[in-house]
Amino acid sequence: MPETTTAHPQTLAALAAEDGGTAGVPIELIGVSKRFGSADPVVDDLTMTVPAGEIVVLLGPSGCGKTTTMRMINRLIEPTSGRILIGGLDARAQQPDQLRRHIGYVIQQAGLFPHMTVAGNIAQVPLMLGWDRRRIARRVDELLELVGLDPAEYRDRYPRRLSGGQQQRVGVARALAADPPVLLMDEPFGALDPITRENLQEELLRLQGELSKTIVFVTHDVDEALRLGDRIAILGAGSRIVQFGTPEEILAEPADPSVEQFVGGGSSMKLLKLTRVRDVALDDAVRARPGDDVADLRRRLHEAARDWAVVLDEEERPLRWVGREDLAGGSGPVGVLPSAAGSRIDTVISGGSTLQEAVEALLNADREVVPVVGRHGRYVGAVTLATVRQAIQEVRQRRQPARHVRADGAGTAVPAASGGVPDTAALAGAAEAGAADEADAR
Amino acid sequence: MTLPEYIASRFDMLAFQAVQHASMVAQCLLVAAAVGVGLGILVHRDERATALATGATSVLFTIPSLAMLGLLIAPLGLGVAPSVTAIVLYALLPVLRNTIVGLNGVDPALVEAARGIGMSRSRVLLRVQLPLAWPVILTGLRVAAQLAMGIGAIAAFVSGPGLGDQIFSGLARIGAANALNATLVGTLGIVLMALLFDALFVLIGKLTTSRGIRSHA
Repeated sequence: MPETTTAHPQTLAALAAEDGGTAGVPIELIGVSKRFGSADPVVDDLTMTVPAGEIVVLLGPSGCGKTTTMRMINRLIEPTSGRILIGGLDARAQQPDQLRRHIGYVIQQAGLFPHMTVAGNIAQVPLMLGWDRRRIARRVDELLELVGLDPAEYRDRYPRRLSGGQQQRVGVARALAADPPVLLMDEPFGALDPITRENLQEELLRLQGELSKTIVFVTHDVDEALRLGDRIAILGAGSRIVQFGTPEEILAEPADPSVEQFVGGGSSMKLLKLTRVRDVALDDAVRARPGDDVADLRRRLHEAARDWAVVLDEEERPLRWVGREDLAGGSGPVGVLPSAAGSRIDTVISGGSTLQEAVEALLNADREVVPVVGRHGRYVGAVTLATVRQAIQEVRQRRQPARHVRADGAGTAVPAASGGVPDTAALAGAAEAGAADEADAR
Repeated sequence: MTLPEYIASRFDMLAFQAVQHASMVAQCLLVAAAVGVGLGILVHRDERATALATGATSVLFTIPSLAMLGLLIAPLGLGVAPSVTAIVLYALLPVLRNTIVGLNGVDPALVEAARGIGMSRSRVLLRVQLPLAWPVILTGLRVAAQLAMGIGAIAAFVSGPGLGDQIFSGLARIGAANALNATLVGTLGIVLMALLFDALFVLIGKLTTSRGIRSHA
């Protein structure tokens, strides 16, 4: 390579080669429109930025132009007007085929070539880039490992001997072959059964944790969008952005009734799915040891105004619950109470559980409280229905001012001196104060 | 003279005519394949061009072969030239039609996937579309081979090479000595060669079709 010291890469290929291609680069769409013939534009003056290393989901009803928008990024469709910058480089200034080799592309049902083996499919882009055989073979195995398929078993299989889920794994491997900074995924899991779909979504999040690509993901499935998106762009007709924000923002503060309707009436339920137990304020039960004196524990419960205590073993692992009624009239150590077997704890949740899982555990438990355990099963706190309710309300209130701040950030074209900013800030502050008052009132 | 005696008595000539016949058919097929597949590639993406090309070859197809050969005498004279021209023209239709059907039968999503990962148009054609359309194109070639065998026999009408000569001279002298033998040898020889060609195409199909898309893998 003679031109290694040239000042600035001119193509995505050069950019990808420069830093090994690994990390994502931002994608900017600036006033992009697409018109087919003289009909109404499919995409009408769309401006949005996909931050580097994030998954941005384009969510909208079919026919809203989300797939068209995506295809303009890798120039399968040429925009009628506007600019698209990938990693700061104008997509139009590059040869389309060259450009696409450095933008991973995954479509519904994988689109694997049936006459090529799994390895052959994955090798296509490296072949076009002129890699030598050994390097390609190594890369193929590496990618199969990455997507969770045993290379020895799957390398030489033909696509038709793979399940739908396995095909899509290979599809993802093919897209990642040349380690592109950007990945475009067009309803990749749309044709899969719900269980396989969830597995692959989970897998994609794991992969993204390792690779930090910039991913544009098209779907019409709200749950999928909420699950995968770092940010979600809800698109209306003509790819007009109805709302662009994190899943929490969209659930807590839908931009308009149409969004609210679209993301579904069960927004609270969806927030439950999105919020992790470790992110909420936990309740703490009175802690007891099997050796503690009953009378003493009774006193402590009374002082804390609680009805129950959690009994922990030497490793701090929760064993069982004891209530006031269990303690009434008893004496001696807690461990030898006759009713000890009654409230044994067999359901615990961890910090990584979602609030939805916590609620499920609560509904199945015979007490209105479920212990939360940390490393090595150590007790760290407890969740009750009140904890969950409190957490959801907090998410809602937290998001309200946050959204205003973000909206200001997005509109930097307006000078700060316009007076709009202080007003909004004041409003946001008032809302926050109001919310705080409300919380106090409860 | 019995049939085996007839064959034994002029084996050299019969063998020569059979080889001539086979070689004529094979060469005509090569030309028809090149022209038919090439034309198919050119027109398959355009509906009107496709209609025009298949329409034109269909019209050619409706002309009785004897009439076609006769008509070709005027511009091309007798012998190899009109024979080869007629065979190629007839063989063209199945090749062209199957090429178009085969290429259009390739899942558009695959073509899009190929474009999407950065294949150029010609690479998509060579790496994806043609390999996937190949079994259908090959079937077209098989049909064309059978056709060419038959038309090749009639080519004797314009003094073309091949086993057709046995059939025509036999039929012209029917009732005379060896007339039936000649007709039978010509006919059976052509049937036998047609079967051999067909077997050859099955073999080619086996060897050149990816295991991933073969119907009985």
